[in-house]
Amino acid sequence: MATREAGKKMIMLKSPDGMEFEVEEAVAMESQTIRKMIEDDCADTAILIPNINSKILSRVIEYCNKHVPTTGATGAAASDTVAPAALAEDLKIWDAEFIKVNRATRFNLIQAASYLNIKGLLDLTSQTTIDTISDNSLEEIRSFLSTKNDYLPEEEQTIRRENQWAFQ
Amino acid sequence: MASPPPWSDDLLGLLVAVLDAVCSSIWRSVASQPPSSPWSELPDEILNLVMAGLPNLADRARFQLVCRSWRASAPPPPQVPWMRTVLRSWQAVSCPPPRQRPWKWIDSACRRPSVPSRLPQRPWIVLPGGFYNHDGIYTYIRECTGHGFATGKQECTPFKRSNINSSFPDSLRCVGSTDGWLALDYADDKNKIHTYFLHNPFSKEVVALPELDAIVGNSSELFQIRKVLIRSTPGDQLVVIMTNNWNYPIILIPPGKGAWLPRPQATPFINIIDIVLLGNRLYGITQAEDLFSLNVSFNADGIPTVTNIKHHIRSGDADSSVESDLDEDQHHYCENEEDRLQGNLYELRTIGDNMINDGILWDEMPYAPNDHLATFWYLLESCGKLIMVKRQLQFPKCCYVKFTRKLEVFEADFSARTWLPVSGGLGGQALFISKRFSKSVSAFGEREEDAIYFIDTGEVFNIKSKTQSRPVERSVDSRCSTWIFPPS
Repeated sequence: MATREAGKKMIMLKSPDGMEFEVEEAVAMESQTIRKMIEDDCADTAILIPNINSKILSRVIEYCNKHVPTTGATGAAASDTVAPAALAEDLKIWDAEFIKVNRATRFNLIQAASYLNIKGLLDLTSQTTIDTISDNSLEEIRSFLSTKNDYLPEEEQTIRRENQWAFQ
Repeated sequence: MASPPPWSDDLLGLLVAVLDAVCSSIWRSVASQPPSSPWSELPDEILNLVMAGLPNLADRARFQLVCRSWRASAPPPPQVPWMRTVLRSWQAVSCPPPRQRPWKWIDSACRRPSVPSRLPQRPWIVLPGGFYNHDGIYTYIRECTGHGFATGKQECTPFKRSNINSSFPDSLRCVGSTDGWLALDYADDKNKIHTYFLHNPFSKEVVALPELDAIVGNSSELFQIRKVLIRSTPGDQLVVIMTNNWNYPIILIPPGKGAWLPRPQATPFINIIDIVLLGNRLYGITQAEDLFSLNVSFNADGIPTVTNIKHHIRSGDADSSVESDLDEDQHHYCENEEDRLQGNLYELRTIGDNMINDGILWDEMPYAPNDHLATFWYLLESCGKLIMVKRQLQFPKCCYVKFTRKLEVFEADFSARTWLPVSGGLGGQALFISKRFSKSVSAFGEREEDAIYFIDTGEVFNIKSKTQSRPVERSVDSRCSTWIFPPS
């Protein structure tokens, strides 16, 4: 296991495109997936994170770095500790800036948060998707997310009829 | 929350034609190759997370129509089979044909002369069974239906409807309102499971309340919701529910996020008979006229919690101390409820339904023993002040028309920790009073300044000029009728 400063365990994370990131164990353990690997002693050398490229991985690490102090070095779940109001407010502002990314990056962040099981990041990324849906019409949602409408016209009309009031 | 633009038939036709062409080509190829957008391939757990974060049912319906995989992944949204009937009944009372407009004086007081270019600013009366039709055709319902309304076990006729246009379906009841929002209770015929919704007839939004269903959806037929307050800020809602169950007298719910309950049977919650939300503080009064406030704060996940309970005004009257209310007032319920109470009091105490009195004090008139006298307390906010309206209502045995016998209006004085009688006026405001929702609005047009409008008797009291109108005969219940106000 990599070590740098006395007392602070370091973990090496590797993206599939070959980049390596050395992070504090506490930061890496924001991810429940990585935490499990470490606890199961599967993390002797570098941990390969499949499916997450270096650009996204570096952003995820940036997020974990920012969020780790509020959860404490023991890595207790965020809801167990009460952050001072001012600190929580700071984090909110930071989160809002952090998530100002393009659609593709946001999508990759959702995937990464899901795979790495980082609750805070998952909540943040899905909330932006929720906002997109609740603020826009169906066609706008489809075009924002560039999802293809794969319904047959008859199907779409049937579903629309069932929930007609929702589209008025 | 922006609502989607209405669909014109032309646009819809064109869109369907385009969709037809696009989709049929996509559909032919979809079996062999995956959809091109990665958003269609989001893992189910994320889609479920997104779905759970959409409390408005219209949003959920749109979510499901984005693409096939999104619909397949997420659980179906709760159905709202009542929606069309409600929209139709709303249409019937909000836009009646011109010949059906013999507005009585209360109507002219509540309704501004209609301006064609914008919505008329008038509060509407909602009964538990439907919108109140001002054309003189009444909806008869059993007073203050609790959960028993759909069970068919009631001895009195539940309701007899003579105007189908303004009534809700039999399985739907209005249990409260705030501003333009209705709180609706839908009872499933077979299992008597209750599902709660918020519905705004002006914006047509529907918000499910699964958190409330989980707590009270399976309660006994004695269970009642007394008040529903809804605080709407952009992108955020807080719903406060007051019930007659002493295990959950007050419930705080940010829809889609969670719920907060006080400890079962805890004071002061079980003594509170009326509530009002002012910013992040929930104020409550007891029948002894004590005033409490609770500070509502939110954790990082948006779940509310109550901290810092303050006792602002203490009543000096030992005889009406809050603790004694519960036992003394149990016998004031209607007869068949009383039988049930005696039948199984122990079980009731455990379950807790109907263990909180409804904040109405009943008395007999000393010189007219057949008449009943009821004291009502209402708490509301007006221009940043807390107003308590205390009113004695007389129910004469001889005739139907009930009337207000005595009216007192107080303002909370926080520094002197007492209620100050309001004598001068209401600062140009008009108060619309009902047990389920009261509101202070600025008076203009035919809304009289410094006037208090009562929903049940139709009386208008002007507390500045000390004048009052006569009560009218109408089937608007004193306990469970409510107002809704169009957005201003």
